[in-house]
Amino acid sequence: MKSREIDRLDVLILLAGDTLIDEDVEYVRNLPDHFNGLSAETEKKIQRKIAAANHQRDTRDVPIWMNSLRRAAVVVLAVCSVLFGASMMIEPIRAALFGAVVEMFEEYVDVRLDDGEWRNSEKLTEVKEPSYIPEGYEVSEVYRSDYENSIFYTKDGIEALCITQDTYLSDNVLYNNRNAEFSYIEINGYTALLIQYKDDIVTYTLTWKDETHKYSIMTYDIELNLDEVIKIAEGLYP
Amino acid sequence: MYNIAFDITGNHEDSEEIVNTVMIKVIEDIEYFEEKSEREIISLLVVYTKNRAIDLLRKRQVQLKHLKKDESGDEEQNTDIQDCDYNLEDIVITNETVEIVRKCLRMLSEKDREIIKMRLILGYPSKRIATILNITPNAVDLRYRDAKARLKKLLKGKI
Repeated sequence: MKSREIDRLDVLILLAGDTLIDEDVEYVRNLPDHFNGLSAETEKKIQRKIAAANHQRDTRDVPIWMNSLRRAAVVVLAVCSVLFGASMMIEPIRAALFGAVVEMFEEYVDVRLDDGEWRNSEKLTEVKEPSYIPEGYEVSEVYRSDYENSIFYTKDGIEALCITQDTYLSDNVLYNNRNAEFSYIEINGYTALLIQYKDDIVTYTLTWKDETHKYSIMTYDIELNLDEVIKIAEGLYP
Repeated sequence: MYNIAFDITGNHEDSEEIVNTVMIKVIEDIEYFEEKSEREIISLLVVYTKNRAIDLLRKRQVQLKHLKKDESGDEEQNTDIQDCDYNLEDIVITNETVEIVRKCLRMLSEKDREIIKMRLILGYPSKRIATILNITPNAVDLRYRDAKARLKKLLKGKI
């Protein structure tokens, strides 16, 4: 209608045309009412048609290539599902898949306490052994890895001393400060933190760092005095 | 819609069937119903329903005794649309002129009124009218042109 030329008669019809609409409205209003509701079957048919039309309208504006792509994706998905189902019936493939899933879970999902970030990238460059150990002390256990060297000593069968050398360079080391006195002393030119625990018995923890390693000496023997602890510490530097 | 269908067919089952068919057509043509006034929608539904009812009855070869539609007038009227060539362009449009056009529109056959209403008043394209009236788009254009010619002839000497 927009592109068609409107002549004077068209204008006249448009101005007077409401009478045609009025006729229909009048006709409908004067009709006797025979309507008692539609049958359930017709209602269903109409509802189905409305639903189909709504669906068609929703998808009408989707480009053809998008519909083709969607269909292709559905086909690919169906084929993949069938292939996956078939392959899962083969024991070695099933085992390999579950293994890969577990591995991936452990690698990316599993929560683990990993101290890797705190660790010096360098491994222990030199494992140090104390040149002085008080009389009566015996090595009870040695734990040695690329990053740590711990030696445990007993005296008369009771745990008495632990010397640890490691590459942990973080300062975020937590100490028990209950009944503890903190002070600094010097070990072979390095500042060391000395903690004296004064519970029922007096024990010491001495910790320091040099250029590459961190050391700590923990005593559990009440007969071991501070001079001897310092002597053990300095004995690590021959 | 049901009452219109029943008015033409006088039959409950047929009326239901027509309502169902008309609903499908309405859904297909829903864009034409948008932004139409209530009166225009009623008018559209009358056209849709009447034509579906006529189609149904035609298919069943039932005598259209309830049908108000004037189907026989076309050929007769086609013969008297000649020689009505006069110029409407100079006419001054007044309320009186519009009222005369209204009266003349009402004098047209229902078929002519229907085609003018669909084409000009309700703004349907020929193709769509052809689907509704179950005729070809060319027949729609021809029928519209003839309807206008008949209206013009009726207006001759009155405005």
